[in-house]
Parts: sequence; C-alpha cells; structure tokens
Amino acid sequence: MRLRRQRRRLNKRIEKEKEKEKEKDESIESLFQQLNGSNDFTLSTLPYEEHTLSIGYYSTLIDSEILHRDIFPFLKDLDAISSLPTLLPIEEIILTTDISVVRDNLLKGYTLIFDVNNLNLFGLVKSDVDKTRQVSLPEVEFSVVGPKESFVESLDTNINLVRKRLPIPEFVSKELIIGKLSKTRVSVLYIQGVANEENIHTVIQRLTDLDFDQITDSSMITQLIQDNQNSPFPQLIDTERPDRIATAVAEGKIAILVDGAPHGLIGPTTIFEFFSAFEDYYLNWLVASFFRLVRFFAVLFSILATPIYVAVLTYHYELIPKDMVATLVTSRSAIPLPPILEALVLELAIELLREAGARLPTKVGQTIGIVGGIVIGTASVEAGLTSNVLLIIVALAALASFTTPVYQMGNTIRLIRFPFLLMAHYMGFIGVAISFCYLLIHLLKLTSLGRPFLEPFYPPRVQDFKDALIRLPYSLQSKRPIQEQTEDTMRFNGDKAKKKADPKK
Amino acid sequence: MDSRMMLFVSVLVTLPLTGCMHIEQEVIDEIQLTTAGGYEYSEDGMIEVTTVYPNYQPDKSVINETLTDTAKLSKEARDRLNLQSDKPVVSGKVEVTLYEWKTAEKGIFDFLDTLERDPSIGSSIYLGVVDGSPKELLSKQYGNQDNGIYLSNLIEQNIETGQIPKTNLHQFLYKFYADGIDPTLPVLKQEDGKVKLTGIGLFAEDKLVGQLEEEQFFTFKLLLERKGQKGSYSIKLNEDNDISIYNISSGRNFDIQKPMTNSEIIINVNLKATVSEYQDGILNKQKTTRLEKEIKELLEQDSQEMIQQFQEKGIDPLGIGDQVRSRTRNWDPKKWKELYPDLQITVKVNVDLLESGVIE
Amino acid sequence: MEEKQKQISPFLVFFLVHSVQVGVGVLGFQRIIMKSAGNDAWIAVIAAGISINVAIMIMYLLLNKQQKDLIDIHKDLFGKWIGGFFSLIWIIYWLVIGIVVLRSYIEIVQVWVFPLINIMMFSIIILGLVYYNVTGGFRVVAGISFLGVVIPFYIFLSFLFPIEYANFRNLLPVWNHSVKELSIATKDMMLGLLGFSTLLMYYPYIKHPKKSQKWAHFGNLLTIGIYLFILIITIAFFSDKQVSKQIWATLSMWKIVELPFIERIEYIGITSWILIILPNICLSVWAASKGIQKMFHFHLNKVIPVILILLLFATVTIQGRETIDKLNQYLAIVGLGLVFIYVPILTVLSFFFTKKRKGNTGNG
Repeated sequence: MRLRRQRRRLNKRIEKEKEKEKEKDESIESLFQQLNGSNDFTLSTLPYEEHTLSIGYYSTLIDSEILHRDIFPFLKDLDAISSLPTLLPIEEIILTTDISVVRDNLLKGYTLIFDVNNLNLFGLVKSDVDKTRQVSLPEVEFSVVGPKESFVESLDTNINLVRKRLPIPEFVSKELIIGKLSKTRVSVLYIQGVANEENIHTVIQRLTDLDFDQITDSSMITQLIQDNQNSPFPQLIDTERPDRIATAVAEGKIAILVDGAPHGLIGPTTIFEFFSAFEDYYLNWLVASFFRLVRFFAVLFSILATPIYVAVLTYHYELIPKDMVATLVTSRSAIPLPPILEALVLELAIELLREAGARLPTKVGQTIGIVGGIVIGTASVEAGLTSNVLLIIVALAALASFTTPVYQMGNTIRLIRFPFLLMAHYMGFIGVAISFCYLLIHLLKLTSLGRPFLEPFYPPRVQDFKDALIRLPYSLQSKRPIQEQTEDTMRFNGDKAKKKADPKK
Repeated sequence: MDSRMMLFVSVLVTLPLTGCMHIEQEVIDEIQLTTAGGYEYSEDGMIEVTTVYPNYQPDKSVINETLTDTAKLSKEARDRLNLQSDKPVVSGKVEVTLYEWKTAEKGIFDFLDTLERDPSIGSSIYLGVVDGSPKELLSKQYGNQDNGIYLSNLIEQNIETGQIPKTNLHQFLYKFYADGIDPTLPVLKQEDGKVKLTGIGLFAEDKLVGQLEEEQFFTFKLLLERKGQKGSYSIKLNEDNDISIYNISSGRNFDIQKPMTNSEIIINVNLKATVSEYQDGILNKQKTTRLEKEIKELLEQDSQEMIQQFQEKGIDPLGIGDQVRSRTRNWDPKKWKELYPDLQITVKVNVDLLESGVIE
Repeated sequence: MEEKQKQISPFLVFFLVHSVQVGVGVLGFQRIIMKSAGNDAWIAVIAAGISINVAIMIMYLLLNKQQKDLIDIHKDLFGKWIGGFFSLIWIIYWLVIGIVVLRSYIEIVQVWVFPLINIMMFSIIILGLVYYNVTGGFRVVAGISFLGVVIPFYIFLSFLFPIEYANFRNLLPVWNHSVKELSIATKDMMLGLLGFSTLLMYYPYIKHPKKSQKWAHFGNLLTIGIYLFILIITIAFFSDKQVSKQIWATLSMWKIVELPFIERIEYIGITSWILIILPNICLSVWAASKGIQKMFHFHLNKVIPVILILLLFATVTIQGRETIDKLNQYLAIVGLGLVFIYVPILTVLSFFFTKKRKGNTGNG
C-alpha cells in the first residue's frame, strides 16, 4: 500500500518536471497564439516615441477603470520595463522572464506590459476586477446572538474576516494551488505553536497530494481529503461563520479556506462538534448545555423513532402498554399496508417535500412545504394510507433531524434512518440493535485527520467532556482539548483568571 | 477497508430483501389480541376455555367478543379457538385469567404452567376465582371498555387503594413454590352486569379451600403485609356507634422466640390512622383513647379467629412458616406442617388514632 | 511491545476485563449456583470474585515479568513445537468461548423472541458485525468493549423495579449451607468469569501495562458487584423452588416490570444484550486470530474470516439446550484448569527459567 503510494508520488514528480521543461521551450509567440484563441483576450500595441509597448490582458478579468486610471496615463513616461514598479501607483507588480509565470498571472487578472523590442523582461500589473458579494448575514448557521458576519466567495475577504479576530503573528495562512483546470487557491490556517505539527503536515500533505481537475467549493475538498471517503459522516466541519473558524484555530484546530467557497473547513473534529451550534458559546453554559442535550436526543429520536414503531407493530405487540393498544389498533385497522411500507411511504414523502423545498426559490419552497405537509398528511390519513400515529412520529423525526446545526450532518442522519428502518422490518428490535451496533463500530473506526472521531466518548477523556455533550463554564475551559494534541495546552491561566474577581466589599 | 465496508453495507441492505429469516410477523392489526381468559372443567373432565378479545370500532367504541371451546390442554384449546377466529389468536396481551370455583378447588396449577412457560405472557397479570361461570362473566359488556382491561383495572385499583393485598401471577407462583406460605387470589362475582370483588380465595398449594369475607379483608391485609399503607376500615363498635378510619399506615413484625418448637409466636401489629367518620358526637381525647382500645380488642379478636380458621384448614396464607424458615437453619417443611395446626399464635395490636379530620 | 498508535490507555483494561465477564451468563447464572448454595449463593459470588482477583494477580506477575504475550512466552519457554501446542490449546479455548457465547445468545433469542429464527442467517449477521469490528484492530475491539459496558448500563437500573415484590427475608438464615456446597457454587460461579484470560493476548497493547493491573482488579470488582446485585434481587424476588425452574431467572424477573410507556422490558433487555455480548465475541475472536497470526505468520485480515466461518459452522451445528449446556460445562472445566492450574505453573516456570538463562548468558 505504502509502496504504491510512493511510486505514484514519484511518477507525479517526473511528470511535473517534464511539464516544466516543456514550458521553458515555449516562446511568447506561441503563448499569444494560444491566448488569442479566446475572444476576450486583448493584445494591443502602443507606439510611443522611444519604444513600442505592447499590452495584453483578459478584458473579462481586469478592471478597465484601473487600466485607464492607473496604467495608461503613466505608460508614456516609461523608459524601461524594469522601472514599472516605481512608476505605477499599484503595489503588486511582477517582473519576470518566465513565460509560464506570464501565462498564469494573465489568467489571474494581471495586465501584461512589455517592450516589443525586448522580449526578455515582462511586467505584470495586478488589475483584476474585485466583484464579490458583500459580507452578509449567515444563513445556514444563523444565530440570534453573536456576530452576524459570514464568509463570501473571495478568499482574501474571508482570510481578512478571520485574521481580524486573531491579530497575532503566529496565525499563519499557507496558500496552495489545487486543481489542474481551476487553479483554485486554498489556504490552510493555523496558529504556529498551538496547532499540532503532525496535524498541519497531514492537512498540507493531503492537499498537495490531491490530483483533481476542478475544485469549485470547499465541500469538494472535504470529500476528497477526509479519512474515510465512503462514510456517510462528514469528517470535517463545514462552517460559514468566521468567528467559528477563528475559535477553532485558537483551540488548536486547522482551518481550510477555499477561494470561491463561502464556507470554511475545520479539522480535526469529533462527532459531538457537529451537534454544537456556535451560538452555544454565546449563551449561558446551563442554557447551552440544555440545548446541546436536546439536539443530541433529537438525533437519537430521529434515527430510532420510526424503526421502533415499525419493529413494535410488526413483531413486538406485547410491549405496547395496555392503554395504548386501542389507539394503535384503531389507527391502523383501516390501513392495507404493512407498517414498513406505511413508514417508508411517509418518510419518502417527507424527503420529497424537503427536496422540493430546497430546489425551488425560497417563497415557492415555503408554500410547497406548508401545502405538502398539511394537505398530503391529512389526506393520506383520511384516505387510509397511513395511520395518524405514524404521521406524528415521522413528522417529529423529520423535525428532529433539522435541529443539527451542521447541514451535512442533518443529511447523514436522514440517510441512516433507512437502513435502520429496513432492519427493523427484517428482525424487529434485534434488527434495530444490530444496526445500532454497526453504527457504533463505524463511528469507532472513523478518524478525523487521524484523530478518533468519537472522542471524548472513546477513547474516554474526561477532560474533554467539558465541551462535548454539555458545555461547562469558561472558567473551567482553561485547557485546550486533548483531541487536538496541541503544542501549547493552556488557553489561559485558570487560577489567575479565577483570582481576577471583583474587589471584595 | 473501504471495499469491505461497502460489502457489509450491501449485505445488510440485501438481506431484508431476501427475507429468509423465517421470523413470524405479528402485525398488531392482523392478530386477535385476547385480553382475558376463563377456565373451567366441563362435566366430562375437559377444559372449557373462554377468551375475550376487544373489537375496536372506527368510532372508538369497543365491542367485546368471546370465543369458547373445550379441549384437554389449555394451549390445545387455544389452537382450536383459532378455528373460530378470522385472525390468529395470540396471548401476549392477556391481562386477567379467571378460574371457576369448582375448577379452582381441583387445583389450578395445570393452567398456570402455560402462563409461566410462555415468554410472551407477563408475570404481572392478574388471576382470579369466579363465583359463578367465567364464561358468563367474560361475555358481558362492561361500559365502553375492553373486558380484560376493565377487570385488570378493577383489581389493580383495589390493590392500590389498599382494599386487598397485592396479587398477581408472580405472587401466586412465588407462594405456590414456597414452602412456608400459601397463595391467595381475589374472588370475583358478576351480578346484574357488574363485577364485584367479593372475597379473597384461600389456597392450599394450588387448590382452593375457602374464602375470606369482605369484612375480613382489612384484618388479613394488616397481618400479611410487613408495611401497609392506605386503605380504610369501618368498625361496628356497638348498636349505634360506628367508626370509620382511613389513611392507615401499618407495620407488622413477628416475635418468634424459639422457632420450630411449640412455643408461642407473637405477631405485633402497629396501626396508625385518621378518623373519617364517627357517629357518636364529639371526639375528645378520652373518647379517642377508649376508641383505640376498642378497635384494638376487636382487631385482635378478629385476627385470632382468622388464624384459628387457617390452622384448622392447615393453610398458611400469612407466611408464618416462611418467618420460621428464615430463623432456622436447615428448616424442615414436613416437620413444620405437623407443628403448625397446634401452635399458639397470638396477635398484639397497637392502635394510634392520630387525627380526627378537620373537626373534633 | 506494539506501536504506540495501536496501544490503549491502561484505564481501558477496566472495561476490557469487565466486558468479557458480563455476558449471557448474567441472564441465567442464578439457577446454577443456587442449586447447591441456595440463599447463601451470594457468598459464593464473593468467593469467586476473590479467587478471580488472585488469578488476575498471578497473570500480571507472569506478564509483568515477561512483557510479551502468551504466544511469545510459550515460544521462549518451550520452544517452537511444544510451545506452539500449548498456544493452540489456548486459541481453541478462546474460540470455544466465542462459540458458546454466540450460541447461548441465539438460544435466548429463539426461546424468548423469535422461535422460528433462521440460526444461520442470524449468526451470519452477528458475525458480520464481529468481522467489521475485529478488522478495525485492537483499538476498535477495546472501543466496543468500552461502549458495550457504558451504553447498556441503563439496563441494570431496570432491576430496581422487581424490588417492589422482593422479600429480603429470603436471604435469611445466613450460612445455611455447608462449606462444600458453597465451594461447588463458587466453582460454578467462576465459569462465567473466566473470559478475562484474553488479557494474556492484549497485554502488549496496553500503554503502561504495569499501571493497568489495578484497573483489571477494579473491572473484576464491578463484575462481582453486578452479579451480586442481580443475585440478591433474584433471591428476594423468587422463592427457592421457583428459581430452580427458571432457566433465565434474570429475564423472568423483567417480566414483572410495567412502565407507563412500555410493558415487558425483557424484549428491550434481550435486544440491548447484543451490545453486551458483542465485546465478548469480538475479544475472543481477536485473541484467537492474533494468536494464529503470531504462530503461523499469516496476515491477520486473512485469519479472521477463516475463524469466523469456523464459528459459524459450530453455531449452526450445535442444537438444543442440552448440547449447549454440556459444551458450557466442558469449557468451564478446561477454563478452570487453564486459569488456575496452568497459568500459575507457567508463572513459576517462567521465573525459574528466565533467571537461569540470564545467568547463563551472564557467564558466557
């Protein structure tokens, strides 16, 4: 296994070197020939008195205002390309002889300036158009209290949003370019001296090893670099909140930001973090802990409620309390379908509603949700296709699955309900228990960046329970979680923090 | 690892489709949930089994329907009941089983065997003796309710309010198997479409030998339970002087000096209660003390008579033998059986009237 | 010693020892020990606990001295062939433990829940779980042992309900039985507790193995606590003759529980018990396959399927109560012999021989 990986890496390196040699061979003429194939590439010649300058750019990538305001007026005073940096009022100017650099930067929105008679030096002036969305409210992870900023599609803006929360030199952003076609900029953020070196290496290693043509969003990165790609569970947290990323990085985690993606990734993580909304940190610890427990039980309910209904009604009638027998029997007596089909029909109906709501524009989606929920629900009960008891259970289970703060996890939970349901039909309670064991073993085997996914539950680390199922007060959170294996384990001096109380009266 | 996991998932998903697990499905609306059963011997020595099951109507009312058949074994009878039913008859939700008086006199253990053996039957179901025909009792409709649940609520309610001592299948079997204690069961009677608890049936092993009347319930419960709570009791002190007490908390302990000898066994009973009705004017302190004494004497006399009755019949529903057993190493039940009828058993009652309600 | 990545913290030995001791036995041990010791059976439980603690101590004496697993110790002391023979006995012993646990559980499911269940299919599904677990390596096996103790712990709370009908006078008179009767009961009691011998295999996987000894003792104590708790409630709940009729007294006790939202908690109990027996099977399969891997140098992931298929055949072939009981008895005798006679002898030998060898090398 390891050998194969090494060989693959070696092959890649050889290929890269070959490519480089090829690039050296190509001349500026062949480059222009290639670029002219696209209509939005402009190459114009400006004949000045002393020399003739040529200027080339992608009209769709650059800001013409910069071109006309900050470049053209100054060019006629230019004596040599090498004096471009001193002449233009733009700070990012590259002087190069390398054709491949020219090509790459043209595609990033630089303007190429060179002397027609001297093809040895090229000037590249940054003039890209900065058309991104304004920083807006978080929509997926909305919170009532706390900051209301969310990431946008521009990497620089996003890093800015994080860095202004961590104004320290140790906060590092390592940039990588991934994607053969998309050349996506990916930033790895961490705090030097806090984040575990091994984790940093793992992330950077996995990112550089990626061989993929196009990266359009951070969620693709998650799928590509997570430890077990066949698991329905996401192993990196996906968030749109800069404050969450900043806190995670401060805790010793590593964040990944992708250009063009309004979401960042956090790792290593544990399953419990998927059930903690970031608002939990802005509420009193008792309230926050209560909400976390509610969410956790909602998930258990969502997974187990319908399967238990199916199991009990199909096999274990003895379990039903005597006062409830009448309710269940009357509600089911007119229904021709066996419990499993009844449940599947309703579960799928809910999935349809959700999917339809998600694919349609917001306003239409809402209507579909309400109309579908009420009309289809009541109609199917009246038509005798489903029992009203099950309708309540399925609706509650669906509702419960929406309480998970991380969207991806909500999807996972809705998905894993179905194997449970089938097993419940197949073997009753024992089927449910077997599915549950399977789920447990799967979670035990999962890792996030090589760290156990079920921590602090397994391996049991009492210290990390302070911020897992419940969140204890900040005064008890003086140590960073063991999960991250941080280089510097102390967040702050707990004893000192306690002493800084109000002066005694 | 990945391919292996996929394999497992696919096996897991395809298994239910193959359906070769051979598990019998019992979908709740496709089975006949019997909730009560009645047993009696017919004249030719066969067992006549009556089961009742609720038929839930769409308008939420319940109609009780009964099935009756005779057979040699009770499970055999159940199989034959299936011949009359449109859905398979199952017994997992049976709440009450009833035995006809004469059947109970012949012994009911043969019927209990199946209840004990069948894993689908809970051990907290109620057993009862019917003064009359169980078939008749079960085929009546008692309000808009399932008969099994009605009967079980009737018994449960009376246990919880302290009218009769705790009883259920487990307790019956416990006392049946134990050497030093004999079981009891409530006796039910159907009159004019109503069911009434009329007595506590006394068993020797599994055979019914007699019953306690309604007036004796309280005394019996007092002597049987180590710690009792709730309940109420009315006493006729003399011609026009009645008193009723409630909210009783009682304690009982045995004083056995020399177990397994002829020496006296003393049962101490402590009774604390509140007066709920008194028909002879104002209750002052003197009167209370006098009342306490009168109640004490009455109770002692009643218990003495009751124990004598037990000794004559050779039964021990109070578990005196069990008390002796727990005080003797290598207890010999046979020797105890010989000793028991002639033992001197004394009951000492201590009555405390704590409150007299909101008035004096 | 194994790689650090694969090792577990010594604290987890608590769960590893405890989880293999609590299995199907808890559901029906009462009848067996009360047959000879009656209402004094609780004394036998305590006595068994103490003896097991002594056995654990001896095992640690051996392991701390050698710092390697049983297979290597055998190889060092007896050489390749004789050592291999002894190792094979142990491997078969662990395998049979797995078979007995699985088969007994299936029997319970057969009797209590699904009488017609297809044993073959059911074993395949459970063994599939075992396979998925064991291929994850020892860390995952230890994980399921931990979860198998922590998650189903709520089950034991349900034993508080039968107390309503309990008659604690049944415990009296104390010491109603002779020492001989009690020692028979003690022996019978120990049968269910011997699974901890897998310690001989996973010892090298413990991070600071010497520190783990106290946890092993605590694990055993918790086991004894649970057995004692259940036994005392059983004695009080059933009368003497009644309990002798109950094959699974623990399950029969559950029949009395009625909660407002659920009646008949034994179905929940039997179902949850999967999580309790899973570590049992996983750990014994792991120990057996690890042993075979070390002896014959096969790849571990190739040994496991073979072992599981063996297990499957054995489970399907064994039919009926009597065969299971008989197998259980033989297993128990072998287990007692191995743990209480063989291990102490091995310990003495190891002390004797290693000293000598050291002396030799010192001279040479």
